[in-house]
Amino acid sequence: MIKRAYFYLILLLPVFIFSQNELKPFEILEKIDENMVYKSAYTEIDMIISIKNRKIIKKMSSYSVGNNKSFIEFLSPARDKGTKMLKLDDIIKIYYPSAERVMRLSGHMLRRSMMGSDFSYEDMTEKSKKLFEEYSGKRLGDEKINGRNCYVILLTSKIKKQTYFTRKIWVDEERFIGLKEELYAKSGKLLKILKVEDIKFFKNRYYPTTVILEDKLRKNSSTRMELKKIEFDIKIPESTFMERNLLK
Amino acid sequence: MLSNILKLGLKNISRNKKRTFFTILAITLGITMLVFASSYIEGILTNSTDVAVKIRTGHVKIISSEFLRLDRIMPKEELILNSETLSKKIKGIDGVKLVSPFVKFHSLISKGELNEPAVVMGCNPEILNEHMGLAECVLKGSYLSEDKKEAVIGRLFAEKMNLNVNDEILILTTDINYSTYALPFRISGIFDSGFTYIDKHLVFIPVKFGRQMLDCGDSSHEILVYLNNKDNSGEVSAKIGAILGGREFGRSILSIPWQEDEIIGTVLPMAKQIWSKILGIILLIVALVILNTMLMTVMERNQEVGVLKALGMKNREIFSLIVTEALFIGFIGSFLGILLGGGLSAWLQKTGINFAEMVGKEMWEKLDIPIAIYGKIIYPELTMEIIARSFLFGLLISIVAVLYPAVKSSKMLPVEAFRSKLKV
Repeated sequence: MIKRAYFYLILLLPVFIFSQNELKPFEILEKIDENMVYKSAYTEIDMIISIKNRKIIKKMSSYSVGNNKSFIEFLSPARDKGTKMLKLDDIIKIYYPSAERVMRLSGHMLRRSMMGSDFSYEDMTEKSKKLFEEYSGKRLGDEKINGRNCYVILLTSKIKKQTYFTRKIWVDEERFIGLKEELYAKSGKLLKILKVEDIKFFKNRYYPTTVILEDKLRKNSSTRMELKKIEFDIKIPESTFMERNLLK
Repeated sequence: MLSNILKLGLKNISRNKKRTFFTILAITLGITMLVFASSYIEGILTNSTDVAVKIRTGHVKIISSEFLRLDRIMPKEELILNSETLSKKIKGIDGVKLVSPFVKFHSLISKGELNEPAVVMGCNPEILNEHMGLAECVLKGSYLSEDKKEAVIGRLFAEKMNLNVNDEILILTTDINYSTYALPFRISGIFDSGFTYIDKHLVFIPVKFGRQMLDCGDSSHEILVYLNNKDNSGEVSAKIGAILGGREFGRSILSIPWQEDEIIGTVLPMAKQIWSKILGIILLIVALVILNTMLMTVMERNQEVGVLKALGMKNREIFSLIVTEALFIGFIGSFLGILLGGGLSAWLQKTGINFAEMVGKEMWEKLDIPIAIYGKIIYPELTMEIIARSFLFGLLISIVAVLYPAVKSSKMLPVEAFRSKLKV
């Protein structure tokens, strides 16, 4: 009898081990969040827009608290210098030095290109919370990206009017960073491809330092974001995220 | 003999006044309808060409091949370089009346928390007004000044954003180097051009501020050239083409005479075909009305024919008499028709037909096609050709209508003629 019990235990052991590894799509996304969500951060970024054989480099600095608050200032080129962007949850306010005015972006305007790049303002305001609430997930199996094993997750929107109705994400099985993401419209048309080109380890987390986004609706265009400097969990005064800071 | 037939014919049509009146009335109404419909269609076609030339093509249009190909996207960097120098050179060409340079770009218009996309047209206000007459369309406020940071917007755009004269708007766009640039403008006036697309989506600003926003020096996206005589467009276009030969003004810059414009060259001929078919249907209806009336008029007079035959009138004379009567009736009906239809068309040619009111304001504003062709007021165009064509048509159909019954009646024996009357 005991022998038979051992026999069944040995037989079921691989199943048991496998089910432990069988992470659900949103468990994988949660693990990504552990890397991506931080208390606060200061970053310096080079945004390189490649379009029609031209390369335009825009430098910016950013202060962020969690996923909800960020303050970005453009440092170059000359025409963009002094442009400041304040993001508070889903609201974006931009200060334009040429007009000396603040503009609030909302609704469909958030889908527009951010500062001429392949990123939209909506891409900037997106939060992981939104993915949990607005999408249903499905594991599609495993694939290799740049020689690394990845979980492939398919997210389908529960909301009809969603810019990216389906999203296919390749997640590094070891580091839990999305290495590639394809964003599709409801019609099935591929809208954007995001690729992570470089990942670095900072104290307790992996974090992507070079990201490339291609807007497939723009011909011969891509935007590369290079993280030049990042400091996690620093103290940022609350006044940084006040509207009057835009006008300073 | 002929004079006798003519006299008898005249006497016959005045004998049964009621019958003659209704027959003439049917022809008159038919021809009135024909003259008016022809003038209306002619008006629509001429109007659309004029509008396209006035707003879209000029008599010659100068544009980069890429900007032309992607005209919905309006790629900002596809420019005509040194366009002020080029404009001066073009002005020196014989027969050139106006040279109107433009910058055109997609933008975001913002006021408070409201944002709306719009197409900004940077223009020379004075020149634009000379060919487009926009100043006359200003409902509130005043037209643009060249040196003031002001904008004029369409009535429908103003309603959409709840804007009024003297309000400040922020115009935002990306320049030719993909930098985002914004400038505040005061609304100097609100216009109603009658074209839904223009009134709903376009914002006009002075060209120098448009260029400042795009950071494009003195370049333009389009130059519209207006001539003293539109028929010289081919010749002038060739001369401009020779100036554009070098690289001074950019690569692949085209000079296009208005006849070669995509809309005028393809859409309008298609519209012409459709309208011709509609006119064909109207012609058929008018022909059937006249045919039916004339046929009935002759057929019901068989007994009368029998009497004439019994009195010794020959077949040929009977035939001639019926055709002569038809000729008189057709002539009077067609003449009255061209008088009535011509008068109506000539009057509406002055006052115009408010198409927008006819289809209803809401429906009209929904006709938001991105090509401004049809204005809300359509002016019929009455030509001598339409008058002559309609008159001859009325006359011809009146005669053709009686040929068959005339032959049939003339060959009848008096006895048969009386019987056929009895059957009726």
